[in-house]
Amino acid sequence: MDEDRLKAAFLFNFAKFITWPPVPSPAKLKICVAGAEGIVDALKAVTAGKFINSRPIDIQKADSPAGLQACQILYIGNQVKKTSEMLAEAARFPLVTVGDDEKFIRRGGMINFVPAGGKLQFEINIDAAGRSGIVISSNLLQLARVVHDQ
Amino acid sequence: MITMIQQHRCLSALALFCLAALLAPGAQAQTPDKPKDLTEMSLEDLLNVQVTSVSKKEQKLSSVAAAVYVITQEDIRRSGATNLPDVLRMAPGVQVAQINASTWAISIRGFNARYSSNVLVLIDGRTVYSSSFSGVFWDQQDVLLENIERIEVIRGPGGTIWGSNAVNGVINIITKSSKATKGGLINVGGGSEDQASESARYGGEIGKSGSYRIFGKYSRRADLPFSDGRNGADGWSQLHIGFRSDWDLSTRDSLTVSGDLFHTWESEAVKTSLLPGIPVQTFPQSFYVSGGDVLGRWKRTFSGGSETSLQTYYNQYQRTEFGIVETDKTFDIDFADHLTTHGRNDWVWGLGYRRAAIGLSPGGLETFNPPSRAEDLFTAFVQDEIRLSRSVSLTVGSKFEHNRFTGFEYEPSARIAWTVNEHSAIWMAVSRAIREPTRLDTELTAQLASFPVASNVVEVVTLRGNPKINEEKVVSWEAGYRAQINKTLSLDVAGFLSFYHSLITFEPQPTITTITPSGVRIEVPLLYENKGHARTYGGEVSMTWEPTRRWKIISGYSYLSMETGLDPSSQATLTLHTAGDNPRHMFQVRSLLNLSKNFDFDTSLYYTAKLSVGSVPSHTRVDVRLAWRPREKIEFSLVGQNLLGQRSLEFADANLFRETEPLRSVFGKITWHF
Repeated sequence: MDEDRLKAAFLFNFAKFITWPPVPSPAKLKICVAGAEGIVDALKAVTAGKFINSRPIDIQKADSPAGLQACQILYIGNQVKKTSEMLAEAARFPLVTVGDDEKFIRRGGMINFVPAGGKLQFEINIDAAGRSGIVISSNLLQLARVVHDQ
Repeated sequence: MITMIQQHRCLSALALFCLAALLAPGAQAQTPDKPKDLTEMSLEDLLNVQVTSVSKKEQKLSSVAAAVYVITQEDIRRSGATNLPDVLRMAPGVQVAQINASTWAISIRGFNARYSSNVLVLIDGRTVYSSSFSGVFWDQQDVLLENIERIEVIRGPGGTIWGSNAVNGVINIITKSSKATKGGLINVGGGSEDQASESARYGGEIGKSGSYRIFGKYSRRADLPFSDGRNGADGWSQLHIGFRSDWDLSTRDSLTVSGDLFHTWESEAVKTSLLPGIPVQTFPQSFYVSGGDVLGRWKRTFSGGSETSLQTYYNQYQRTEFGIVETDKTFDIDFADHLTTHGRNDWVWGLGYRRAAIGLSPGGLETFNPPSRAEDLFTAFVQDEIRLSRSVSLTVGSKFEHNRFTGFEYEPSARIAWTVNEHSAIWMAVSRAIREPTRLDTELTAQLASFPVASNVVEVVTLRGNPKINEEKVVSWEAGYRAQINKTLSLDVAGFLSFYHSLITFEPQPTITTITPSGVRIEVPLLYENKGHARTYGGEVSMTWEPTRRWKIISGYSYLSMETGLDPSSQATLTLHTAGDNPRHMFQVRSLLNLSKNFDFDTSLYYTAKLSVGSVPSHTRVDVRLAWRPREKIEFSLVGQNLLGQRSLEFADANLFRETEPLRSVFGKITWHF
């Protein structure tokens, strides 16, 4: 399958297993994407007309650290140069960060895609999620490689 | 979408051996998920999806075809089945007939018998037939049902990829990667027939790139009665432990290692005579089977969808039924390579070698000469899928084999598929397959019956294997249509016309008279020869209807017409040995209903028309399952099986032992994930 579409499907599925802290959140669940045009298109195609916990889904580009507080999930493509800055900004909000880079977890990201055997797996830094008040269902953790701060 | 999932899942089994990989539309037709809806996929599914850079595959996959049905983990869980044969009842066109508590006759498109040998069965790429007769001992094939990812059932010859003995079909059981079975699982169950069915599984990670699971299972089944109501003393139990480990060696390479060990304690009512018309006595006999296997598979995936795999396994068992100690040691190695080019062609080729050492100690009424023997099988196959146009593709290929009995063999096939539109496809195929002889056909001497004809004169009827026996052959013509009619309804129809020749018959030979100190012995030998033929035609229809998100109805019907005959030179008086006992009609309907988020109510009905030989009347089986999940990880379920009748005969002519009748039964189970 096309890798972008697969990642988009994962992102949608992740959202089902994540509980955000009970802060006033907008009616829509916002997935923001930095530096990956393909993912934006794939997400739009995959999530069109879908709901997560009866919340409609909004897909938005986010190419700079500004304005991240409106997002619930932030995907940062591996071509993005300011990854560390964006992660630092994201850490200030209850926001799930997803990336696709060997160094993503080390830089403070929460969920990282890992290619293996022609398929996609993912690792989750449970410590990073905890710091932002994000609760990840054990159903999701069971399928992930769980890592801790290094 | 579904096409791609099926493709990848297939590849996860034994790469290119997986015919169903080429047949995704079948799966599509009977899985009514919205074809393009990725959000319907579970995370487990997503983890298994193969990444390719282009979506050309999708087109390609819908282009090759055969009759295939996929039984999913969800189907298995909701069937309430506790053993593999009952699971297989769900595939339309598969005849599953229980003979006694531990024995089943299972076949596709006819030729069903205790020792039927026309269907190839694989568990994770490991061929599980017994080399002595090339059929399956189902009591030896235990799988923890929760470990199964899916079962692909291919009806019709699969010889081109799978080799000899995939004459009428292939049953391919694929278990989950250990990545998908992390954490713990405990099943505690028991009931009137399945007295005990307990299992435990635990899985986790090994380092950064590996995962594992280990499991154990114990089951005990109660005695079933003979048709006269007396106890058949055929209860049995089984212990099975196993493991699987999956490793990502690099971004391209993966390695799977798995193993099993099992032991059974069994009993059955053995007959004193095998010939019809002679009064039969039975005596109870205990036996055991003990065995294990270990398998390793390496796979490399290239960008663009090409992949290469190397698999090897060793399989061993010892079986002490009928006073014969059968020891089967099989070593197998297979290489397969899938070459996706950017042009019109898509190649798959492979090489294989198998060595089977079979020991059959003299005992009971059967002897094999010599008692022990090893045989080598060399195989190669090549198949090319050619895209004739955007919507039409032609697949041609052949298997080539060399075996000890008949030397060189070939099994070609040609398949053409036309993807009419996004929602439907039509396919046609012609293929040739063979069943290669076995030690049973060539080296057996069995005493079928002995009776006094005068004082001091005994007549003995014997059955003798024939070293010059040839392979049985079939040429099969098939066609099918499958469609996603609308969002809730899908349909799959397949038809076939098959011509079999060189089928095995038992030919009477001149009598042999010997004078012994105790009197005169007149032997009437029957010799295995290839003097039978058959013509079968029929078809299968399966339909899935999902009227609401909570309710799914799956139905299937199959028709089989079978005419068998003896060649003019034949003098056989027994009915054609290999024809088996088959129903003309089979029908099933299953309802999967979610009463609420926490309650399942599932019902299945299976109808089987009377069997062709005539001693087994039509029968209907109804199973019901009710499950409640008070919490996410705990499930209580109650299953009733065979609810319509007190007992029902499913198969007669059990050969060496006397058949018993499945009973109405209830079964309760607690499943706990942690």
